[in-house]
Amino acid sequence: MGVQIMAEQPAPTASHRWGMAIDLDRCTGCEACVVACHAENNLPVWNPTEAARGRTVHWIRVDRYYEGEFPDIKVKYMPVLCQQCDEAPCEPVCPVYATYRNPEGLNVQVYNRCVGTRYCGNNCPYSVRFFNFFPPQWDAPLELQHNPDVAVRMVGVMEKCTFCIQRIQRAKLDAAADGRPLADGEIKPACVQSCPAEAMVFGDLNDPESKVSRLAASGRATRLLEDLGTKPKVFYLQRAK
Amino acid sequence: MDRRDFFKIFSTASAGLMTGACGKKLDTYIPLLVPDQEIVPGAEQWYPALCGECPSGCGVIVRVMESERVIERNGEKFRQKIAAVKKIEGNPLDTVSGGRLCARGQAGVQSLYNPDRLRGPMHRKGPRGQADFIATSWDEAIAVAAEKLDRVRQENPSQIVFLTGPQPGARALAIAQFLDALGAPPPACFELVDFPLERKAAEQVYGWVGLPVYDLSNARYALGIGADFLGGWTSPVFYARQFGHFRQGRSAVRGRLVQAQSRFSITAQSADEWAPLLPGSELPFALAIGHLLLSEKMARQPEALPDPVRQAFDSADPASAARACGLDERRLRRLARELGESEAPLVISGASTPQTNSLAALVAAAYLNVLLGNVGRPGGVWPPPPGTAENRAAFSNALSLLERAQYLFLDGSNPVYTLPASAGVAEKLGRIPTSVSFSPFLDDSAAYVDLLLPDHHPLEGSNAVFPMVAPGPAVVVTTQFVQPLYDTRATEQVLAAIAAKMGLSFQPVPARSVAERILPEGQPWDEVVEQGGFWGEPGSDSSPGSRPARSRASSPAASSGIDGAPAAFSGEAAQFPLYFQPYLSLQFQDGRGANLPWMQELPDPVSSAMWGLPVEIDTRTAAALGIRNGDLVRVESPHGHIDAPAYVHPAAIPGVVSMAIGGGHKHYGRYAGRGANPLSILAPVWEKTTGALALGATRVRLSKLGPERQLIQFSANDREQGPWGYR
Amino acid sequence: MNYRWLISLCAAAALAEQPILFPHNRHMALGLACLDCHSGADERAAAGIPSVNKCMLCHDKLATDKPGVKKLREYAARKVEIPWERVYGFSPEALVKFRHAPHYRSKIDCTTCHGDVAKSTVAVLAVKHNMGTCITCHRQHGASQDCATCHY
Repeated sequence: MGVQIMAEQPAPTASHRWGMAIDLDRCTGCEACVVACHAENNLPVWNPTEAARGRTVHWIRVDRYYEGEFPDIKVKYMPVLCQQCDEAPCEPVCPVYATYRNPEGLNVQVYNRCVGTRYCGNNCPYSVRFFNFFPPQWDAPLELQHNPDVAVRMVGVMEKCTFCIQRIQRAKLDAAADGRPLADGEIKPACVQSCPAEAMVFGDLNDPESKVSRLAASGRATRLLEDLGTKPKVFYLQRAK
Repeated sequence: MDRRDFFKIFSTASAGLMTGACGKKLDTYIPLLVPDQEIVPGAEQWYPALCGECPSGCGVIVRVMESERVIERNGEKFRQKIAAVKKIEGNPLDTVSGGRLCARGQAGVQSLYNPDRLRGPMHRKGPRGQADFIATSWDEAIAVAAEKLDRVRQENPSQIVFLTGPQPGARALAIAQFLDALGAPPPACFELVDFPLERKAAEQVYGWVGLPVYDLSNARYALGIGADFLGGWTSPVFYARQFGHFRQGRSAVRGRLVQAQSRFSITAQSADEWAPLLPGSELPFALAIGHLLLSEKMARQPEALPDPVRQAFDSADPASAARACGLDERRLRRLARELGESEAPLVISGASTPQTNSLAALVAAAYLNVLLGNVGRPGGVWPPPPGTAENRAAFSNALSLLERAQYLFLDGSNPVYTLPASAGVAEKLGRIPTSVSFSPFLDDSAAYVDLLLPDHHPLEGSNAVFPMVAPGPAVVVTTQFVQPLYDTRATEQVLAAIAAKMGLSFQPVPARSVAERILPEGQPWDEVVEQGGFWGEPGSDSSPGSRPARSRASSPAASSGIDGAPAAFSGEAAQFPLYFQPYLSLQFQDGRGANLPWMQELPDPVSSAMWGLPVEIDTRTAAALGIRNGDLVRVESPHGHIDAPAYVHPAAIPGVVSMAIGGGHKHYGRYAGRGANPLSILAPVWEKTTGALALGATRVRLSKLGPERQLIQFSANDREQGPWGYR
Repeated sequence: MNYRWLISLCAAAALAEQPILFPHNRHMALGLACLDCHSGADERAAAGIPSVNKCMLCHDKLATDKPGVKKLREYAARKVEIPWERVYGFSPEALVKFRHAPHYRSKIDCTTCHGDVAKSTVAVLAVKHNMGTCITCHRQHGASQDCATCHY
């Protein structure tokens, strides 16, 4: 069977660089993002014993840090997810090249290649990588809820936030089918879509006019553990005064 | 994966017809049924619906895709393609949710597909409270229910009691009309999430029937008193959206929030400043603020106060109020000044932990808005949306009803769990001759009834619901879009069947006619159905039913001033030195979310605890008792005790012990049940006007039971040294 | 964990028996095109296999004497789908998100990957699919070779 030459290819779209901005002045720490991620990405739920062993999987979590002492006590809290670092410490240590940065800046985790050394999880300074210690299991009929657009990971592979790559791919395909470019704000990862305070913004850092680019350039924008040189693509807007 | 699973993917051969090339016999083929409706594989459909996780009434959209399950028909197994719910998002057209959704709303799919849902009607086999039921048929169940009901109706219909939830809409109306047809009293709501104190205060001060709506997004300085409006209160998604906009949604203005509360709640954490109030001191706090607004000439409309109320404010003393609250007096004065000087001040008041004096506190706080002249103005407090006043069950303390009841209906109500053990609800339920539960789950209260007549899950049913809080006329209309998973029936239909059996004429009012009460003239119904509801602009009310109801009472309480009595607590301070504050948790609210595995594994916002919530103890008390994080402690009240792991909370007020509600279910499925129920040990103290449970009125003492290390925490910086030495 | 070799081996075995010997050649000679039955191929991920209801649109009245059609009508009467044996596909463990739509839009003919079906009766595994063939074609036509295009 010969391979037929394609008549025409669609024009390659301008290369995107996906990033996120989280406004801590809006965030209330309500954890809607945490649950939305579970629902969208078929995250496994273990049980109390494994939770006690620190094996719970939350691709996004809300970290809380107390400052001061009662009554002058304040709390800093922020949603922490894979920072999709440009210089990701998790990438160079994988012996089978199962994690790498793709042309759109996403730190991709390829479940097929992963053999479960967990070196990447060890190296991540943000603790956003999780390992499937067990085969996933859901009490029937909870599995009816699974998102067919996302893999159900098998035992022995690492997983982490993908910026809802399934939504990115879907939006790109839809835009290609319609013959138009992607609009800013068209792609919303599950966390971004659910956040009641509208604290999270997702978009193309290569587009200077995009909302995320403008927020990333704002005076309040910081990044987590920047001095480690990871070059994260998640920008946190500090709480204003 | 073993080869057997592998072959399932590749071949659906008939039994015995094929052996795989690798030499293993294939599984028995299960035939696939032709679906009744066209479901395109891999294609998604979105349908509007109503979120069923709390009574706020957010409109949602639901992603539905093809899925497969195995069912049995006449002893033969078939595979069936069904439309399955994959994801829930907020309905972007909804002015309440605005396309957003909270944590529990997202977990609604786990409620729909919960393995512990009731599959069909059941009747009790064993003794009450043992949750020993066997399956029965709908015909049988309805016949039994109707027969017993008919007897009670003929003897004394006033002893028919119907406990239901607070949500206004077609379901509530159907229930009310059913009871009317029986000649029975109207339904009663005895739920924490009814917020009866907030409603009562709004009625007395503003003359509104329903929950006030706070236009936070247009305010500039907001003072929250006692209401955890961002954590879990009257409408979490709505207020979180408002808050986001309040903070960073306007180019030149950043809103400032000060939260005065007896706990470092989610709202207090998000605020710019937290004023820690001692429990029950919201009243002197509000009175002092009002006093200062008046005395420093910052009140915009002092003449709007009735004289007795004016007197209550005038006679308040900021110095003693500050002492009562546990605040510095200068701070109190500064807060009053900041509030009074703001261009758009707003006071958001509520009783997240109701006390015996909470009504007075809420009335005083509501009058602060009157003083500030923001009632009905942008950035101020607005009347409740139309439709929410009349189309619902009224709140009442149902204990005396339960005492006398001969027949009880339970719908969206779990009083065995949400009321203290000292109220004796379980015993009362055990004595009622006939009782029926419509809950889709076998919960703590359903364990005591005679008949389980499970309702559809809210995502499987049809309804028209008025959201509790909305910026304008609003109604969520949902029509069935997936087949019910099990042999459940819509409660309205069951009531109709029971009425028919009794020869009574009752037809549940259709959702359309309920919704039409607030729709503007000429609003096409198809559009409403397609969008999943109608949400009008604020102030747009062309239909007579779309104006908020006014209280018929001429506010007699207002004319008698504000009762300045301090909060009363049960338990001698010497014996029980600590205050105890159970609170509606983010994950479980009043405990209803405890059967959702995502909620059990959701790290608690305070302690990052999972699979069991701790007792939150302040650092000083913990140090004095030698309690460390994770130690098992006993919390003892004059009415009982619970054991739970301790969390040493850096921001807890000294002497105040808090605990999130949601643990300790005796029945509610396999995921619930861990932990302890803080409501169980409360004293039977009720607020005297509404009869609401005074959640915060019980004093307790603590003792350390042992270093059991039962606290499972997610966050690495929370865990000191877990049971596994994990750091 | 890596059963790719099994895909080709056992799929080859799976071509053996279909419940009805469906003749693609006869139907296509009558003018039916691929998309008429496998209607997802132009816009969706899965091309799909038609429901027995679709067959009955014609065979309610047409060719009812043929043995194959008789079997079809039996299934339809019992409201049970025909238990077709899948010939082309990927195992779930491959974690491949294959989408027909972009390939269709790139004007790749169905026969490229499925062989000349117009000459067959039942479908046969005429073209071997493994990651190698996918990558080769992608390379030749400048399509994305990023892992995340298909594996996530």
